[in-house]
Amino acid sequence: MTGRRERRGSGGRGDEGEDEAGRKRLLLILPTTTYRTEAFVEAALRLDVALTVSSERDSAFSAQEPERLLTLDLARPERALRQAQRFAAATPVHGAFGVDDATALVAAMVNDALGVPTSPVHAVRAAGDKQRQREVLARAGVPVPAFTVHHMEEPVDRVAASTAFPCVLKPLDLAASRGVIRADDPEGFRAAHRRLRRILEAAGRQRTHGAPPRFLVEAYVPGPEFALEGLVRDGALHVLALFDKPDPLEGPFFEETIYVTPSRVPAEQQRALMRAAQDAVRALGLTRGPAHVELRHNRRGPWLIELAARPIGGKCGRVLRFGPGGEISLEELHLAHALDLRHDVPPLAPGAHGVMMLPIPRAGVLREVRGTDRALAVPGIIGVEITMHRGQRVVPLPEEARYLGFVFARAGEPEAVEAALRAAYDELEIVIE
Amino acid sequence: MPADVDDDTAFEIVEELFNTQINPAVAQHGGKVELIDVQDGVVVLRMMGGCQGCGMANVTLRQGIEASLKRAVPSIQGLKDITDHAAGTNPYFQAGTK
Repeated sequence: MTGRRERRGSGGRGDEGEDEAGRKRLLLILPTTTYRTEAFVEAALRLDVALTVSSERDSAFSAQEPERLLTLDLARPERALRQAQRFAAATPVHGAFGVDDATALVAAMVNDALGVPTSPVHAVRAAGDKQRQREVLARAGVPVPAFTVHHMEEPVDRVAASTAFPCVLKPLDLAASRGVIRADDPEGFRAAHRRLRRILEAAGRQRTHGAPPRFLVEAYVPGPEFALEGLVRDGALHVLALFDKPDPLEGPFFEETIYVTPSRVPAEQQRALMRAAQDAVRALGLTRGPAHVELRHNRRGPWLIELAARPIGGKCGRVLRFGPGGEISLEELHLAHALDLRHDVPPLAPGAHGVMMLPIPRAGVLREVRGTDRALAVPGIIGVEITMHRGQRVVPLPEEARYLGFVFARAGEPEAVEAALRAAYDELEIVIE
Repeated sequence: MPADVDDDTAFEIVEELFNTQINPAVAQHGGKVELIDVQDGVVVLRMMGGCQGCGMANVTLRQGIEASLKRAVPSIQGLKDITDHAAGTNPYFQAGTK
């Protein structure tokens, strides 16, 4: 008989709260709009943990499976925390994990309340707040673009007159480059401001608690952009992958397309990018969990554009496999660390890896995406996933921030990965009416 | 409930569950799940309506349907979802943010 079994309480579980099979329980917090449901659920099942999936809306099986499915008010983190605490009182939880900015905050609050090691809640909150993040990083000397914060009802001419150009307008309250517009002069600023106003109205962000929505005016930083995927343990940032973004992101809108790792820029430049990301992690006070960092680099060095205390978005994580045979997914790695099931950080699988987020070429109704078989047949392509459905209205950036789908590639060298992604994209025929 | 049953017997039990529990549950979200077969203990199914292409379909499968089926038929080895989710035109939850 094991020690665990001897510790079983009257509820049929051990004092440490494992389930009947002695497994730790993970509270996986997923918004219903995430692309990452399957990847994280399957990762949790591969780790053989007891799993409770939590979303902001009821599952069809919430009533039948109350230990496995939990509804949390994710729009109100404090309320979500109370709901999670009530759940954990009856069904012990060993760790919570959130997959996006909002759920990462709730997960940190839950972990903190349960005494599970986590980044400080204030650090995760600051990381998820575009203004607070920039203030903290700038104060700590992390190189961030100069910025000012305004609200939409300020006289636009006055804001434009006080702005250095080129600049980028960024709504504080929208995600994934939605509403992010470059302006090169006062006239362009006014046009961008008008467009941003329409976007915020369409998104239902006219006013929050009586206050008009706010936006950042950020100095445009020239230079190539990078994405760093990391895992923080004890405050140290372990770089899982550094992606090049070979398509220039110069505006007026900032649509993500191709990510390729390993990076092809000189090693010294890579080290500078990694140091900037580590400095940002330290400045914010993050000590544990995922970190996704967007950076630029130019002759003045690295620039921290954005940091998020969550894993890479979309379905991009699919290309990141770890261990000599690529046997560990990114999601497994994050969840295993969240539950302290592993303490090491295995290296990225050998070779080069890439993903292309398929842009929406124009607004309309998606009728069909032809050529996926031909795209899949391109050497190096390991997957094509169309995530929008036929008949769906599609809207390109900056009004919306969705992708048509994703193409994944793996090859010996980054050049081959990038070429494969471009060749696969050329095979696709996107029919929009 | 039997701990170990052949595929034909499992099919009958699972079919009954689909009729009495699974489909009434997913119908709340405009969905439907069709039982195709049980092969070597693996339940083969297809999702339709609001389940087809739903961003939370995997949660429904793993945390709802599979859990219910394994409780009723412990010898069930797993589920095989043969749905063409990309062809779904009216998913209940639509993935669409980072």
